[in-house]
Amino acid sequence: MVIEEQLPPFLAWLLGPVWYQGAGLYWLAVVGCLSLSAVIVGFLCATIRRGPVAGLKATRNAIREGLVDLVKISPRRVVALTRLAVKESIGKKIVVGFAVFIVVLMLAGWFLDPGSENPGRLYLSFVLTATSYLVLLLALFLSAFSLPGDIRSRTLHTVVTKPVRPSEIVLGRILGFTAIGTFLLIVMGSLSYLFVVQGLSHTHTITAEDLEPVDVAQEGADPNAAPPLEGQTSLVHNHRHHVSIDPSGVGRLERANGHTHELSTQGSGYKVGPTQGALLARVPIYGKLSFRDRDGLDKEMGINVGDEWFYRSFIAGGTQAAAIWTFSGVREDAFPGNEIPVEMTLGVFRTHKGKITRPVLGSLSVRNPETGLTVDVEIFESREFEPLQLALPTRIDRNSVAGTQLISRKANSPDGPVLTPPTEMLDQSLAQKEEFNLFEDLVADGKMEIWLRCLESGQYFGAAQPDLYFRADDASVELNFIKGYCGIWMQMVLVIAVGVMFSTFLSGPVAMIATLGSMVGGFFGDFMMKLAEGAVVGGGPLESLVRLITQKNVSTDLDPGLGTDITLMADRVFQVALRGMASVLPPFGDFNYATYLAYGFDVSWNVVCIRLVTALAFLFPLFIAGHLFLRNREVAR
Amino acid sequence: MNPQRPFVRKVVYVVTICVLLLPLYLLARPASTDRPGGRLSQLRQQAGLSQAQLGEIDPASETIKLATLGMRGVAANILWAKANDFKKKKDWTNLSATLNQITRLEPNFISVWKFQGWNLSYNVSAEFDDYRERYRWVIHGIDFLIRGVGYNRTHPRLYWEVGWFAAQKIGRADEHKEFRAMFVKDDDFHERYKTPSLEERDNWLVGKRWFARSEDVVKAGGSLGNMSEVIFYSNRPMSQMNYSEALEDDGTFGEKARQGWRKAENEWNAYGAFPIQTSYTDDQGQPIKIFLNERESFASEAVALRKELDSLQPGVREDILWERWTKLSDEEMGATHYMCIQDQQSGDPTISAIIALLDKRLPAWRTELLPKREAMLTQDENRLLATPKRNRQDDEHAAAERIEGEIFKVAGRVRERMMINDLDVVRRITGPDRSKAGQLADRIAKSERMATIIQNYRQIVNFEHWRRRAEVEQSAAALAARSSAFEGKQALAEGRLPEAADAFAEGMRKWRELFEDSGFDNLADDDSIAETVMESIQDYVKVLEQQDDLFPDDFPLGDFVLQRVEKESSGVLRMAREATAAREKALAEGDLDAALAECEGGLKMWQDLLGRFPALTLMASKEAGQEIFDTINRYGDVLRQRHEPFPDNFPLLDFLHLHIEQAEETLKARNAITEGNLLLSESKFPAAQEAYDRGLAEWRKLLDKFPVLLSGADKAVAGELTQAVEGYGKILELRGKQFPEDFILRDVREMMRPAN
Repeated sequence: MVIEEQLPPFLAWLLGPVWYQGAGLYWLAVVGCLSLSAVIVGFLCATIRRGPVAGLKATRNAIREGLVDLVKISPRRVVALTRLAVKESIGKKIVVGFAVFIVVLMLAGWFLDPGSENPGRLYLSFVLTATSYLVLLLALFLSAFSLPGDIRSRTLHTVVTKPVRPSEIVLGRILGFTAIGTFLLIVMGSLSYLFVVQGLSHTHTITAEDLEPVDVAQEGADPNAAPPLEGQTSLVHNHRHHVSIDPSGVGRLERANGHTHELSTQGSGYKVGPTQGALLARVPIYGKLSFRDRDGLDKEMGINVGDEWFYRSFIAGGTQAAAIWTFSGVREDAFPGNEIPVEMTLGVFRTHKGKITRPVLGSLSVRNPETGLTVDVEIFESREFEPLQLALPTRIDRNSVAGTQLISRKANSPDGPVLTPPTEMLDQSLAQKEEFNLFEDLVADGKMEIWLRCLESGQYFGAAQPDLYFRADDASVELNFIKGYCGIWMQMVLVIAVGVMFSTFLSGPVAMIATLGSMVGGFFGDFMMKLAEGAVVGGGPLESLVRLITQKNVSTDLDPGLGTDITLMADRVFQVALRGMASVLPPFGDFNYATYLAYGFDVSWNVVCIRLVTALAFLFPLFIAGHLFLRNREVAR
Repeated sequence: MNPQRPFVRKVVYVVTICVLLLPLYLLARPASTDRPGGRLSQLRQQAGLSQAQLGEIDPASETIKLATLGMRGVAANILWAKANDFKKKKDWTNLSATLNQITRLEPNFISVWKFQGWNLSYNVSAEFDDYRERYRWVIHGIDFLIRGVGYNRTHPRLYWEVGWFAAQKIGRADEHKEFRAMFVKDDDFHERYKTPSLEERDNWLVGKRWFARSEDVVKAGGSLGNMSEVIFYSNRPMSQMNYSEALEDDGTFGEKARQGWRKAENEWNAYGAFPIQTSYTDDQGQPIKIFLNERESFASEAVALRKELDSLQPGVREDILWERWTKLSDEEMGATHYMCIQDQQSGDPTISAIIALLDKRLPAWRTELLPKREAMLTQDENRLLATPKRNRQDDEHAAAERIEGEIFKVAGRVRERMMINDLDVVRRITGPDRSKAGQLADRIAKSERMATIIQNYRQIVNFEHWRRRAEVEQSAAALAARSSAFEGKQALAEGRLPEAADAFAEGMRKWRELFEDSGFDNLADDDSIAETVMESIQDYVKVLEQQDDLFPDDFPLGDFVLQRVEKESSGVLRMAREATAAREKALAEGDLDAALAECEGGLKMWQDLLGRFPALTLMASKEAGQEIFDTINRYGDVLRQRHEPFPDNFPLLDFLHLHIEQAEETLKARNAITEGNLLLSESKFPAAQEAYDRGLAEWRKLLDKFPVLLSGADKAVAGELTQAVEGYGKILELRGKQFPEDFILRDVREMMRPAN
């Protein structure tokens, strides 16, 4: 799975590597600035209307009353208002939303080809995206039109005559709509799960005619024994599986289209079982990636082989170059089995065709970062775009490995190259052992290095940090599915909160447009930030507009002159505004876990926690803002 | 009123809608790769109807169009950008899905199918390292295009693209051997598209069928757009040619290959007889249609008509030419003289006519006109032009080219003025024949124009080459030659060198047979066939190199090799021979300096040729080999006359050494000397002397064969000779004897003396 930006552990994210870089402090600073700005604006408005002394007094009163409003929220009244919101919603859009979802699911089969390369990926991406769009639209309509509708129909006047606080009204609405959305999401999630499972479910048949004996005459083999068989299953969902059956009659199916099946004997023939591995929840343990260049010098990056996408860095084959993953916390109790499963996805780049029918050869070595002992545990043939499954045995027999050696890492320093460990500290006897214990010989302080090397000169391997990982026991697919829907749920709650906040002071259609704008802005937050930083080819918004009108290529400079100067200056102003907006809009896209699910990876609790806290961090100010806006409306007094 | 009623009503509505949707869903479901689709889709498939004929009711496509609320253009653009991003990030599953969506949105936008089909088969497939994956993506691209054909049955270009992908992508990829084998075994593909038989599974034949289908669509009124008809219609017969060629590449010869080529010839002739629309227009502004087979008839018609025209008033053409010649200035005559001398072999009809005229009316023109040309230039410029190219200094080449350019500029103008067209002749004809002459000139112009147009179009598809190729390849000799070359290659790859050598030798004999076959005139001049033969000779060279052997004396293609060297060496062979002539002239004049310079120039040029044509080193051409030895020997002579030693590592030392090592005498001499040394160590002096006598006799023969050895051309062999003479001297000394007066290697002793 491609992860272009990996998230740090929760606490490191919240508190930061140094105290001033944590997300928590950043949030406090932004909220503080916004609060202060609000107070100043409020004070200025009051001063203009009533004079400075009265203005100051009014501001103080407003803050005090606002705080009291917040502190004295009654759960009973909130529950009552929540119930009211639920009742109102049921009569309105929920049924329509649900019906549309059913239609979408029915029609989905027309566009989703179960015979595609990886149907699981396609189905999961689809259901999560479709659900997300529908639920968000529903949340948008529910939240944006509710309060303005009540105000217009004067229903709210009845409510405010009761002893309820504006904060309770806002909270009640948010919770009510959330409850409705949650119910809907549960139903949609259940249907989606069934849809995916049903869509992917299939089996194949295999007959005696499909299997042919393989001629592999081995020395010492029993001439009377049944020969191994090979063949293909029937074509279902536009794919077949390669079948191999050993002389003892035990057979297996190769993976195809992202899954396999169990093969069992049935009478004199074979029976192919249901789909296996189409839906997974792998739990990866990632290391930190660094590189070594062709001369054996440590580098942060490898070579760019001309790929437009800089995700993977490449290492030259037949040289000292290597991609090195350093894993921490490698302890025996964390990996109780006889081996550590490793999965690896590679990029391969050839500068010459080589032998066309043979993949490029590579090696995987394990190195102790302290002693430098390096054991070449695996020589493998490259495979792209599908994870290559390997295993590191915890006990390594010297005869079963390709080689052992002692290697020092070489890094540049102001005083020249530094070797770690220094050559004189290398204990050659370490490499002479007959058997190596992975945890004792190749791990130092819980740290271990995995070296990937390309063995063929003129060929290159490409790697990114998430490309190689230790695979812990798989998590529950169903639970992962729920986590995926949790992401949508968080998006929904945020949209509701934004919608309710806007609806406290805007009319229904305007509140909807504002909420929609926030959603779009939130989904494209990264792009807005890039635009604000001037990192987008073609310049800022105004420059792009000029280029569009004048049909100028994005890579050519605008003609120098006053018009261009004005355009560029205006773009700088836009960029400040964009930066501000990108910082305060909820990053809706970050809550989408479709990629994790589609690629069969577990959504880690770390990710869930970070996103949950992020959602709460946005919800709190939205609620406060909504409450303050409603307080200031005539109807709420 | 019951407050629950509106809610219940809504639920009823939704349920009703869902219930009604079910039959609609079952009826309208579209077909996919492994599902037959709903009833409508099946009916459409059975009737072979396209969506256009059913009023564009492909439900999947229509639904997605409706879902975009009329913004399908925008949606397609966004999806296109997404597809590019997925491709950049190598997310193939989503790329395929996105392309599917785009084509649902824009099913009749041909460029989408073409561009993205190409993307899948050519660009995405190339991203994979595993050739099997690459093959799968090539097929994905073809499937994609065929799906496009389903939506656009009246667009011949899509059919053509399918044919091109199946034929060219599979048949011409670097991994075409593997691709072709996988394609034949691809049951799913052939079942999906109903390939009629196992025989027809060849990718070239599958491509051919699609080309034929695209021709049918054009005949039914489909538009080719801006595609040239001559290219479009050539693809089908070319696929048959390629199929026949591929059969032989795969090792299938005999009757099957012959039939393949026969069919190819028939189809190519049929293609030549098919009317092709050109971009030329006639007098009425209508596009001219041609038949590629008709060039010869137009050309011969023009020749016959011109003959008839000239017979009306004989000699007119020559008179006009002479009149124009006499009106030229001295400078123009000088320039024309240079052009005629330089380009007399070019075959240009105007130059040939001028030469013929001058030979007839001014027989001494070669010498008489020379002063006029010299007068055009300064003394230095004349000297520079007189210096042969090979003897020019580096900085003189540019100056010489500039001077030649100036001369040819003037000569070119003359050439244009000296071109006599038929109307010039008509104007001179008087009397009653004038009107007939005008008509003849008009017909000649038309015939020549048609012949030129057809020739231009023929060149686009290499028409003549393929016509001849198909004819030649059917012959028993060609089939046998190809078969032997294939066997030779196989044997070489498997290390069976003697079998490989025999097979190649047999192949060469068959090629010789073909070249001598009167039915195939000038076959050895056909570049494509010559390249094939040269490739085979290269393989033969590999075998001989591994066997430490030379080409056999009866190698039948020596003259052919020399002919190719002459053609492909960019004039180096010609210059080497010019150097030989100049060297001989200098030696005859006693100019040793000039002779040495020519020798050294010649050696370098031969070295260059040996590097480019390894077959020459192994004596593929005895004639060239002898020329090389002559050059080396003459070089030795000149050095000896100048009392200079042979330089170390002179340019052809490797060649000389190789042939000394290959000589039978060398082996015999070494064996005898080794035997003599053994006997000497056992103190059997008479027997040792006898062995040495035999050895020295062999060395003598070798020296007579390679006299240049006495000049020390090959230091290693010279050392051996010296050792042999010294060894012989030692034996004589031990036996109390002196070197005899008539010592067989007296010249070697003399050569040794100064060193002593």
